[in-house]
Parts: sequence; C-alpha cells; structure tokens
Amino acid sequence: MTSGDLAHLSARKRRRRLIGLLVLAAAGGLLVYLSYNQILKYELLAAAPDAIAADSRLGRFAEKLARPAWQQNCAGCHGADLRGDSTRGVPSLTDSEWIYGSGELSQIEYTITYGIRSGNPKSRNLAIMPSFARPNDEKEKLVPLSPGDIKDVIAYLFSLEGRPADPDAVTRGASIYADKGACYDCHTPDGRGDHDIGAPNLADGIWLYGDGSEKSIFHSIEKGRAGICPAWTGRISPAVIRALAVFIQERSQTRNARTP
Amino acid sequence: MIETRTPRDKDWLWQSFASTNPRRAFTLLGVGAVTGLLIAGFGLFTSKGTTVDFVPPEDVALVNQQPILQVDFDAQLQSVYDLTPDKATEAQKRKTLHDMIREEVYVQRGLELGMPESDPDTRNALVSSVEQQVLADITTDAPGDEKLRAYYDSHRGRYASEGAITVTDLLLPAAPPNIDANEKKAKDAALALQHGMTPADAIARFGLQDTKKTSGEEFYFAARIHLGPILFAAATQLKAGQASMPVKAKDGFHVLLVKENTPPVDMSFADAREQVLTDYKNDAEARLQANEEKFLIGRADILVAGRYKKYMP
Repeated sequence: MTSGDLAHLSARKRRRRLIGLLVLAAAGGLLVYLSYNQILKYELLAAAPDAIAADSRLGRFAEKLARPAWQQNCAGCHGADLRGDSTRGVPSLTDSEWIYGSGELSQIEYTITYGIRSGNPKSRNLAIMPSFARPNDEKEKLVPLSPGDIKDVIAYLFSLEGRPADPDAVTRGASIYADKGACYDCHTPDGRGDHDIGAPNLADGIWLYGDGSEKSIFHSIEKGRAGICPAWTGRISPAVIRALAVFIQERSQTRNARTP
Repeated sequence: MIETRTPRDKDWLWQSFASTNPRRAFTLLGVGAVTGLLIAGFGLFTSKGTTVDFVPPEDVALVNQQPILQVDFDAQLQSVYDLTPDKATEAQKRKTLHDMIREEVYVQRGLELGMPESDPDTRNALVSSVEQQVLADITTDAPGDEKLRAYYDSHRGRYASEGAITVTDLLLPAAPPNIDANEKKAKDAALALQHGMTPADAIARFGLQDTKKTSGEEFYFAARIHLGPILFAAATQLKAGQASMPVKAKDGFHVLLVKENTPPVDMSFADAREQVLTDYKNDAEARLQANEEKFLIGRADILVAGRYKKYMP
C-alpha cells in the first residue's frame, strides 16, 4: 500500500465520521425538538386556562398547533377569518356573542370536544328552535302560530332592539312571546337568551341566521333551526383541541375585552 | 492494502460492525428474544401488566385506568356551581372530583353486576348512545355544496315556504228532500259572491252559515286541517277576492270566499341550504342506522323458538 492510498483511506474515514456525526446531531436535535414539543403539549393541557393567556410561550405554541388544525377542520364552515356565515347559521367567533357559555376557555373546549347536536352523547343538545308552521308538536308541547302571530312576534323583537315597529303589533307580539309561542321558555322573558341551552340573545342585534330582516326572522320561526357542530374528540388530540380553544378565544371580543 | 481479521479475534468481533459475524448475530438475537419473553411474561402474569402509573395531562384522574377527562371535570364544575375552573374554590373542586370518582366506581360496579342486562333504564340509555354513536360520523362529515345541490334538485318539492290563506267557509245545509233546491240556491249565492256581494249580505239573503272553521290568515297546513282536504284543495285554487262554486259535502254545500292567498314559494338553494343539509343527513342517518341494525342482527347468534319463527323479520 502506498502513502497515497493511506491518505485517501484516511480522508474517506474522516468523511464517514463527519457524516455519522452530522446524522447523530440531526437525530439528537430532532429528539430534543420532539421532546420539547411534548413538554409544551403537557404544559398546555395541564395549565390553568388563565395561565395560558399569561404565558406567551404557551400562547405561541397553541397558535402553532391550532392554525393548521383550524384550516383543516374548522375553516370549511367558520371561514379562515372565523367570521362564520350567517346565511348558513354558522356563528362568527370574532364577536362577544356566544351561543353556548360565555366564551370561557373551558366552555369553548367542551364545545369543540363534544360538538353541538353531533351525535356524541355528551354533545350540547338541550334545545332546538322548533318550527311554528307545523301542526301541534306533541314532543315540544307547542301550538302552531299563524303568519300574523309571527309578524307580531317579529315586531316585538324589533322593539327589543330599539328598531321601529307598530306599537299594537308589539303589544300583541309580547303577549304571544310570553304565552302562546312560549318563546320566553328558551330565550328568557327579556329576550336575552339562555347560554346554558344555546338559546341566542334576541335583543343585541347579532343574528345567527340571516341579516335580522323580517323575512329572515320569519323564516327562522316558520321553519325552525337546529345547527350542528361535529364532535372532535377522538379525531384530533386533546392538546390540539385546547390549542384551538385558545386560538378561538384569542380572536373573540371576549378575550379582547379582558386583555388590558 | 485493507486490514483483514478473522472472526476468531474476539476483541474485533464486538468493536467493528463492518462485517458479518454469525456469533454476534445469534447472541443479539437471543438477548432480544429473552427480553421480549420477559416483557410478555410480565404483562401476562401480573395484573398490572397494562396499567400506567401516571395521569395523562388531559385527564384529572384515572379510576381503574378509566380516565376522568379534564374537559368533563370543568363542565361538571360549570353545571353544578356555574363556575369556571379559574373561579371555583378548592372545596368545590374537591367535591366535584369526589363526585366524579364516585360516579365512575359506581358505573364500573354496575357493569360488574350486569346492569346492562337487567336494568331497563341502563338498557335504554345504551341503545340510545349506540344509535347516536353510529350517527356521529355523518354529523362530522360535511357534504360539499355539490352533493347538497344534487340532493336539493332531486327533492325540490320539499323546499318551499309554507303558503298562507285567509278563507271564509260558508255552508248551506242540505237534507235529502231539499238537496236539488239547495244546490241551485248555493250556486246563486256563489255567483252573487263572485260578483261582489259581501259575505254578510250573502248570509242574510241565501241562508248561508259561516262555519268559522278558519280564523284569519292561516298557514296552508292549518287551513288543510281545519277545512279538510277537499275544501282546502278548492280554496287554494282561488285568488284573492274570488269565491268558489258550491262544493258538495255530507253536511251540505260549501262556498269558499278567499280574501288572501299566498301560495308556497320555492326556496332557492341558498335559502334552503340548511334544511337541505338536515334532510341530507337525516336520510344518510336512516340508511346507516338500517345498515348497522342489519349488521348487528346478522352477526348475532339468534335462536328463535319454533312458534315465533314466523315473526322473525
């Protein structure tokens, strides 16, 4: 073997060692990255809800986890900008109005986990908006309303919002709201809704379905409503669900109102 | 020249993996096999073989390895005390955790005692839960607009607003001896109404009676129930201000006077989308439910007594 051969052999060995070291370093780096991600996931799940907002590191991690999950699972209905679609009854998540709960992280997390009328036994499914242009509903114990009754109720709802309405129709509508129509039962006597059962506020000018015109409200009362949100438990991990809850809350006016 | 060593060189055997070494291969194979057997044996012969000793971060407790989820714990706090986890006191959290652990151990005891076989409420709840679980996939899968539009196109008749009508039903009673005479009288009344006579005048002049079956403006469904299918069909043919010719019925001749008639209006796909989605899912659920039932009955070992075999579906 010549000295040239030996030098060539030595260079090849050094190159192999270098490649080996680089591979080891990359594997080590990947391991550290994955471990750190796992630690962050653990911290995100174990943290008290308020602590997440206060910890920018967890906030950033939640954002990173949630963004692709939102695009993949939620944006199809709620839109990439979270503004929903009132023509389809998909709520905007950027305002302060919550159909269920009051925008607390745990409440958002529950809705994402089990859904709304999703088929999951734990889903939010305590009430639906019945159709009043149908024969007597034995299950709901409701009597149908006539077109005139519905128009009177709408006049009353307009008055709750401070919109102009015929005073006689408002009086008749208030009576139907509180008696025959049984609207008060879900939407409460003052029309401010019941967030425990998902009955929206009817007095704040935010309409889940349509544009708040007489036509669209008439349609809601005539045909009824029962929106759904799928249950994501078992489909996406608990850490991603919590991250999505943080992501949504961050963009809502509930969070903005709390942030000094 | 490359250095060569023989497999007999023991130091070299374990230091270099550049060449094949049967002895080393068999030794490592043996160690792997023994380790595997030890792990399997431990799992098989000890009751704790499949348990874990830590609580995953998404849970608040494990009861016999059954998790109590953080999200359920928070919801329980909310429903019992109307408080979020941040605002609940230590005592409230302690009580909630105790209640949830108690519930879990009771549920597990119920399963041990075979409650699903004997308790009707448990059985009903199980049936309902399984039915809902089957449907969960459909709820999650959001059909695209293309599928929904195809469904809408093939079920167009379903998607229309409910019509509304204001109709007065005037009756001229008729008993057997006077039927022919009353029929003529009813025709005269109908013609008079068609030419603008008021209902009050027609009642006074022809002896008609207002049946008061309807009350003001009604949705079509209500008018159909109140008038019956024959009179309803006759009424919906009329425009506002028109009167029908006499309609013969068991109790006499009916003349229908329509004040307003707003027939159902077909809804556009955009307006009907939510209803289409609901109907689409309901149909899919019904199909899935039927298939699930068929599958479960098909795989079950069911023996039916001879005298009941004729009832077997």
